[in-house]
Amino acid sequence: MTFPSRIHTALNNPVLQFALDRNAERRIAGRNQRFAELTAAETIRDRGRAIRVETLTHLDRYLEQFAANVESKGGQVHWAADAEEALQLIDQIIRAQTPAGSVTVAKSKSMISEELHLNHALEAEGHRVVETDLGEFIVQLRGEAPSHLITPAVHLRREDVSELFQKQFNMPPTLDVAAMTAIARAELRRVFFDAQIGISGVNFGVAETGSLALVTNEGNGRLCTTVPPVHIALMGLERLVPTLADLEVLLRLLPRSATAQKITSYVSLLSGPRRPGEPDGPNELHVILLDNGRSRVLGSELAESLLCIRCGACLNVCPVYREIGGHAYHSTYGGPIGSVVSPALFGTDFGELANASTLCGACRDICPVRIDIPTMLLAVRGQQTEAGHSPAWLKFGIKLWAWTMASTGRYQLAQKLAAFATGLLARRGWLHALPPPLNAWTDRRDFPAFASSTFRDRWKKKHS
Amino acid sequence: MSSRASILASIHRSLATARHLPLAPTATLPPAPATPDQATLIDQFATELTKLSGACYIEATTNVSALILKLLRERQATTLLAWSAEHLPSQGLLDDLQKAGIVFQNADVPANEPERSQRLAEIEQVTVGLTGADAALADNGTLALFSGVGRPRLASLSVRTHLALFTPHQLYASWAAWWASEPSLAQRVGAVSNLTFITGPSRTADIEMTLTVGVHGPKEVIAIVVMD
Repeated sequence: MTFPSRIHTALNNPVLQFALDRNAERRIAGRNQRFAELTAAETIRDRGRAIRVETLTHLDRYLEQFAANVESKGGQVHWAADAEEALQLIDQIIRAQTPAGSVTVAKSKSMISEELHLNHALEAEGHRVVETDLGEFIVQLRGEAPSHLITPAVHLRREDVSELFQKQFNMPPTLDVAAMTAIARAELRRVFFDAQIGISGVNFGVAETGSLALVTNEGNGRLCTTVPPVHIALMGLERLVPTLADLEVLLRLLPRSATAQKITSYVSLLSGPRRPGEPDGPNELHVILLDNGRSRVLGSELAESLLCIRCGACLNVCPVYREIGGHAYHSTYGGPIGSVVSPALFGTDFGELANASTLCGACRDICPVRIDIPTMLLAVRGQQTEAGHSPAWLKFGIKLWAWTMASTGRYQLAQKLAAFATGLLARRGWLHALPPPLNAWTDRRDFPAFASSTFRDRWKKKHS
Repeated sequence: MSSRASILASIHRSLATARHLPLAPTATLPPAPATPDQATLIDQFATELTKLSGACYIEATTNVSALILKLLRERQATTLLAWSAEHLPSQGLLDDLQKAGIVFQNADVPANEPERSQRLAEIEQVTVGLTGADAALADNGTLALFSGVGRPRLASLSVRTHLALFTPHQLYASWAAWWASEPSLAQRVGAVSNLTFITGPSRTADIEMTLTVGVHGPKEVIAIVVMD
């Protein structure tokens, strides 16, 4: 399915439209309320941005410091150049536990695991992988990918979840969200206590201590990193902060932007595996540091996208995301920041996502660390054109336009022709259907007819 | 070349030509506001925690055992997953509870099977956990708990009800205020495997943004301020 046809499908899906409408306004209103209450919010945003820029500017130094500190606390650090290497490393860690045979893996939310398509890879090896975040659990049962960075099941109504749970768990029919949550709790409880491996993402790694910061609400992140004997943490190598004090600043921004909370129910700082004498916690901690293109992006004109703290606020505020939802992007990372991150990390196949923007700038305004997303969307579009991804008719059209604009006579003639032609085709001043390739416009919106007399003509008439 | 070396080399190449990285804005955070008096902090902590459907009791040290026994009876709990006595700010509390017939679950999870799974199966059945707190943060109603010897992480996690005791001396205006007061914070954080900040009960809004408490972690968080 092409991107335009996925958009078309999304726009004509009433369930999705209902769910998206319900989500976005509340999220944004809540986020704005939280920032209005926050003293010196704008200075904190500047400070947050400064911390992220400082991290990237000395990323080599902070990575080495972070890795050394993880190891000094008994953790093991594995550097993965790409997705394939990360999957091999994870496979080796699991095999070391159970050389032959399958394991149960309890997973808490991790965008890196989506980037790696980890669940498919583990299932292909015969392992049982269970997403334990409620939203992720729901989309996994449906065989879908998450449709939002923070709220993976935002595209579903309670009716959809009820139907799913009735089928999967013989739940009696109900639309009571608390009852459905209780069903999921009971199912997942077994998973936490049976799992041999816990896999989590990482919100931030703290260089000065080698700690992993995990920001969660449900408690599944804590259980996945406490109960199973082996914890594997997946992190993109840009997700560092230099110090604990820096972490505290970014945690004033992340929950407010993501879920309109002052702070989430849980923030965990994990420093190495369980220490001698500690009653619980994993025996082993493995940190997978994933590059997968990030170190290359650092030197590119999309470098600023690496400042992202994955709050999802730009998705909630984007007029395009709010209409088409996350699945239409067909990438691990959707929405405005995803339309930059996806082509940056995964290549030009994802470049067309950058066209799904009006460049209104709402994403830049709401970003807690002020990432200039619109400028990078333009850069992606520029790269697409330079790579020869524009259609031939567009190149011809631009040349024709340039030739026309270079001469007053040709420009005036073009105006007259356009007014004449559109006058013939227009109904009440609007064009509803144009022939190819101009139907690329009129398939989705109307186009106004050109004025029958030009400004020059009217000016001449007035002054003659 | 190892992946570590090749990744670092790639970063060095990018940083050498990093003309696209933005400049960091200069931003100095405003100084912390003056710390309110203890009574105000306690009040603020209780208000914030209650807003999040948690609960807060302020109790004289001599009455803490009776309060906890009452809370346990209301929940028909006879077994407790608890931190050891030296990490609780109420002397003789565990003895009092034991005398009243409360049983303490062994919280030490052995590293190896099958003992590990057996112990976890027992722990999973316990519905109430009792912990201290290393700091209580008034601005959001947050409890901060370090793990360590005699401080099981599961006591605040696998149970339905989490009871947390702290004294007014452990109360700070905010997270930033607490950390600013710790002279060797990085050392302290790095010394144990876990520091968890707990703000109210476990919650989710993943289905239609409808808030539900008690999804995987405790459904109830009850803070008890132990007064001298």
